[in-house]
Amino acid sequence: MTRNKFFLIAVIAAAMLVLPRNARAYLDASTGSYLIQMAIALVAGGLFMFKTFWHRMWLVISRKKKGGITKFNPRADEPNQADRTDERIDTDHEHE
Amino acid sequence: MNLDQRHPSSFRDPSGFVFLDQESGVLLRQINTVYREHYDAFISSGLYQALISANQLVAHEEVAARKAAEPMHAYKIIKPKKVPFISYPFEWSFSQLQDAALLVLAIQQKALERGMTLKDASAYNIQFVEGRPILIDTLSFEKYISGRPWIAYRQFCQHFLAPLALMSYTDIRLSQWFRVYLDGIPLDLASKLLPRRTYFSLGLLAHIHLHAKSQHYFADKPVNLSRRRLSVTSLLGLIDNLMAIIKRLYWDPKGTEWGEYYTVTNYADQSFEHKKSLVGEFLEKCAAKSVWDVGANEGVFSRIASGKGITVVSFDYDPAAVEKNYRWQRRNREKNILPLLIDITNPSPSFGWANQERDSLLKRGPVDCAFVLALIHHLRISNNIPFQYIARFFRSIAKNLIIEFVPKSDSQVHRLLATRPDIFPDYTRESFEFEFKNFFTIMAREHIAGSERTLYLMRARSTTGK
Repeated sequence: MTRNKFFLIAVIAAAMLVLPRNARAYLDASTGSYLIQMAIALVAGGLFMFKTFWHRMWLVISRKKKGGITKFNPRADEPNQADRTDERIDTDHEHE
Repeated sequence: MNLDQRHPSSFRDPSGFVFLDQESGVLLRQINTVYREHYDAFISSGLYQALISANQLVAHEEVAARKAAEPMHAYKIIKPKKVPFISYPFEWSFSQLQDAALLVLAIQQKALERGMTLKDASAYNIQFVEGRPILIDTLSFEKYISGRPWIAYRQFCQHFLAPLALMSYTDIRLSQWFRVYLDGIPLDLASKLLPRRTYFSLGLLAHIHLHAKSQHYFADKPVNLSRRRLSVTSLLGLIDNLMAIIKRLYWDPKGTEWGEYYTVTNYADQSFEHKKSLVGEFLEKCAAKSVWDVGANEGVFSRIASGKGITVVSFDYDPAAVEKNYRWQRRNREKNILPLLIDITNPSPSFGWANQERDSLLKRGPVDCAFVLALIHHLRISNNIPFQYIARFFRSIAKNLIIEFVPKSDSQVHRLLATRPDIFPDYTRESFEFEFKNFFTIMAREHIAGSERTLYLMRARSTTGK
């Protein structure tokens, strides 16, 4: 999916959020949660696709440059608690 | 349907329930036939094995179906590995709740990759075992239906994101709202309490402020949700986004009352070392297998016990002390110490439905041995609790007591009495011993070198004098 398509979907999602359709379904307190999740997930999904694409590109470039695999950290530029205090728990414990 | 055998907290999910097996006295989980399809998919997708390999889910073994508590509905009976001590989210430090949140997201990622999804994201389903958070509810998964959003998204925001954001941006003590709101902190409340600058954080703006407004806006508006679909990529993007937001939240454990205790207290080295060796000696004498260190600060004395392979729960009421204790435990990958935020003068009550859903601290005891070190003056003088009440309380939570008496001549007691009239004529060693002897037998009594303090080893009496 191209980025233009992704932004189009994001805009449509936002429009859907603002202009709800008429209803046949149930009402509950989670309706608002359900809809905001869809809007956020559409945008976040696009970013995630871009990040995954960039990750793959990085791997290809690294292989070509160094003849080997360099581990790419997609969050390298984000501030992280682990950088500021001590090591964070590894939520995936299998590598102990 | 007779629900009497069920654990009082195990009634919300029709997929199954936890119950106490009368024969063996162990907790078992019944999986109901309505959940059969999902349980089988959970196992056959490889998700169970992946989570067990990564130590993210409590392991279980299947046991004989004849053990079923409600045989009419039973598909399978499983025996989950025992969790040594159940703790609750309001008893966790900032980083404990943060690590628990990241675990839930990591599990949801794995589940989506295998065609499954988490159907709930309750913080009460996470427990700390061997120093790490793990999911204890094996029935939290269901088959992912293409196009469906994450059903547990709202719960995740209420149980993890909102409290963490409040602790980080507003006040660390707001984690205690969990005591009031069983299903996490309502997002409209979180949105009101968060500072305005959080509107400039895209993540918090979307997941808390807009989320709260959306809940309010659509609360009374009919919407057809069945036609709205979300791809797996979008869901993975949502999880990835939540992970990044949670990781960015931060709290620095400084400036609270006890956060710098050991750096500002002029314990003589000799006294400190002697006290440590006496604690070790007394522990050997009482042969405890479990310890609660009440008023543990950062857990220096807790580690004397954990170093001997004893399971320790390390309490303090100061969020900074508990945070430092947890970071210490996490950094050193210590397996048998659990730091918790508990005020022993107001311990966690039983709460939830019929006041039975979640156990009080007392119900989670008794423990083999309690440490009450450098605490008695705070209980008697700062909190005006009579010695008799203190002794009776500790008798109810511990079989043995390692307790330190701090006399009025001690500089720490001087500090406490500097700003209040001394209405404690009974605050003497003799009176302390007299009252405690009604509930305990004094097994050993040692003077702490270089101080005026005394350390006692006491054993709970089976019958009390009062």
